[in-house]
Amino acid sequence: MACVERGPADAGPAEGEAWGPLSRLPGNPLMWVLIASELAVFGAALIGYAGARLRDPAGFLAAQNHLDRVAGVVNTAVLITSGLFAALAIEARRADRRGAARLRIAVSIALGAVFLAVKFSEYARELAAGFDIDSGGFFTLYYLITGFHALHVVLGMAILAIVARHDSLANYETGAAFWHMVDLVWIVIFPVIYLLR
Amino acid sequence: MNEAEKSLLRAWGVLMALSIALAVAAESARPQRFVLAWTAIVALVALYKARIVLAAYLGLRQAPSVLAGFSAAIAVILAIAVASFALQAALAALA
Repeated sequence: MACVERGPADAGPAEGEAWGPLSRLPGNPLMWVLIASELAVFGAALIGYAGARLRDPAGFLAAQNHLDRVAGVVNTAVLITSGLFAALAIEARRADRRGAARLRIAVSIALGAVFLAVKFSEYARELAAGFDIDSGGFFTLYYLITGFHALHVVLGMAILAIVARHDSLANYETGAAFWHMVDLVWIVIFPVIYLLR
Repeated sequence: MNEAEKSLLRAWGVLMALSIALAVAAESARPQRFVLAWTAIVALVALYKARIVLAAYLGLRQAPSVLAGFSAAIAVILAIAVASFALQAALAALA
């Protein structure tokens, strides 16, 4: 994905330069501020998780063994593929193939829905097995971190739907940047919570 | 399909291959003494995958300083996760 090529509806050069280095990034500069903030929030949560695990490694290991790692891997593949379609949508929009861009964004949104379906079926199985948010430190952090991430998936799907309707190149880049942030966060959450044990 | 789209497809292929390889490795039995090595490998692969998303999907290949900044932030998060395992091993050895 190349850097931003602002359309006529975007900010003029004077306003664009006001964002400094952020002006050279794809999409709206404010989205990059949001991405950095979100990364900081999830980073703090994962550092908190590492600290809590250190206080009860045996308890965390026992709890982690109840997670469905196959579902986690499936969801990783789903989000990575969804991110691919979001990035491909930008390429289509850049080539002024608006129909293809919308179709690719629709695939991204659909894969977001698949991610949520897999995640909630995972929650349902864990809850049915008696593991809820009060079932010890691991499950409290697990539900909070992955639940907060799932909320971002929902928000990302809504943003992509808006982008498909208001389909300037800058909007595509901004919406896709948020979606890739959701993807990026999952790429860090998944190994820390599911695989490191 | 243009060159940019082919490049995105290659990035996707690498991400999928790494994800599947890590998942298969996670299910294999590991002696306890390799926990730290395993933790470091998982963290390095996660960092590499994150870098691919940043560079290829988010387009930060065009902005190396921003790419380095985001990569460093993710590296710190993963390093702390790995360090917690190292500290756990050290505490167990002292006990």
